[in-house]
Amino acid sequence: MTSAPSGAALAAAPGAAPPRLVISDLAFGYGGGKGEAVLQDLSLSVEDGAFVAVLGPSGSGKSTLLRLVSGLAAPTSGSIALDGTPITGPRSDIGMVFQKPTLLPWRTVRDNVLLPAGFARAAGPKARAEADRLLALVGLSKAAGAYPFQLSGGMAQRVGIARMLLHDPTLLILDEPFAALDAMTREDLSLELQSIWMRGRKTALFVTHSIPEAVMLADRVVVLAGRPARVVADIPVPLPRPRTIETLTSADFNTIAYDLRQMFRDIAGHAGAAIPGGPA
Amino acid sequence: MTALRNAIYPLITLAIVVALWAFFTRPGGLPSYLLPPPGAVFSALYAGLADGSYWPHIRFTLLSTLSGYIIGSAAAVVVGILIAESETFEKFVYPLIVAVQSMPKVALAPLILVWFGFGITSKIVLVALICFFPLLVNTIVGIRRADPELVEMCRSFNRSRAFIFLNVKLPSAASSIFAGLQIGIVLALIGAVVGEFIASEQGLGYLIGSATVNMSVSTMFAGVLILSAMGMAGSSLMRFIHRRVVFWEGARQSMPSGEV
Repeated sequence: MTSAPSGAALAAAPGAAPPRLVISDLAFGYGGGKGEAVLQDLSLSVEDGAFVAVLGPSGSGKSTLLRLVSGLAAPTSGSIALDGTPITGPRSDIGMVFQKPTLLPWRTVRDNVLLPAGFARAAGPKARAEADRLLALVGLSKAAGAYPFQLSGGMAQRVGIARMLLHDPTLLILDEPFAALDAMTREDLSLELQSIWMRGRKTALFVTHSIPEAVMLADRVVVLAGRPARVVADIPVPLPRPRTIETLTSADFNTIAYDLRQMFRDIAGHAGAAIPGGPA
Repeated sequence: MTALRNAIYPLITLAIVVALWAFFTRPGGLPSYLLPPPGAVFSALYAGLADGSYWPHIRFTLLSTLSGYIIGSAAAVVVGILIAESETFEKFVYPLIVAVQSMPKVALAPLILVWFGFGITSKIVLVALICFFPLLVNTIVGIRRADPELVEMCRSFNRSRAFIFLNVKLPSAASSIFAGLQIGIVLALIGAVVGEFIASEQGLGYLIGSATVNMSVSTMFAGVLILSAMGMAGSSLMRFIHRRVVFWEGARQSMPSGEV
């Protein structure tokens, strides 16, 4: 698709191991498929340990895709399998971060992190120790006893990341987790997410509408477009890791980001011609 | 400091009202069988409290108000939860409840007296019935208004329905439930007094009613003042508990939510 710039080795060479997540011929429409189709003929596979960014304009069905993968909704047709077993409902080996922090306002930061295990009382000493370790990991040890209304947007989203990691999930699903943050916090958290991911080498599916964010974080950028949405491009990002603020200014980074931007222009032109007056 | 200063303004208004009241009821002013002077009302109030003749009435009204309030409120929360959480229950019961709600409950008072007698039971039933509906509606609305994203988040972490109810929906509804409880306490007092007006041998409603027969307007005013004090005390207490229990909401308003 693109002339990939030469860089350091990717996380996993294609074909080395069976992919962890296999999405095939996925379709989803509201009202049990009778309503407007949101996704159609969507196929995608994600290798073990890969960081895949799903990039698309607003309303392109990215969040719907994540809801299907996390088992919160069932597809109209097609299948999603994780490690060979179909996903039929929420599972504890999948951890999710949402666009909004979605913390319980009446619970402390520590309890919010412990939510996947019940709260402090029900969770047991092992989970409590794990929660404290994760809070330290995201730099919030001191805020453990605070309530969400005492946190800034960036801190709240860090709590969400710690909560996602509590059950030591092997698949991370992130739904535009930094979209509501200011640019500085966004960069900081992107780098933090990268280091957390590099430490555990979990498989990550990251939805965003920001081209730089997708290129910055991902091994692969999968582009969704159209209505109903399908995968229109799948672009490797062979930039060396760990990526830093300097990566954002490198020629390779800019080439990939530029190509993606061009592609979106082309798609927008097509879609405009095909669906007059259709949503952008 | 600010709270104290803000409390001064309504007190000034009150002082002016009392001053006007005193002015119009001065000797040669309005006849005291229409409007007694403030001094006469306060001395009637003092005498009634000091000689103990008001206390049984206060006790009776307090008892019927509180018992009915607790029963009616507990029932409203339980039924509200059932309606909000069970579609079947909603389908069978909610339309009827909406129909009954628009009926003025006070109109049922004579019927309730026939059914439950002239003692305290009928007052308790009337009070319970009157404060039931506003709280019921507030409970249902509160639970339904729980943030769907929080519910979805809990589902994604494989949390049970009971967990979601106890930890997301019920806390979300807390504020709305307390608002219903605050309306309820005032309505409860109205219910008790109406019941006592119609048929009773005790209670502040009875005290006011019998004072009417004697044309003892000072006693009527004294009864009204005691009822106002009870209503204010009750709703202040509920507001205080509300702020304590639903601590995250007041805090959210006073804390600017800035980004780092």
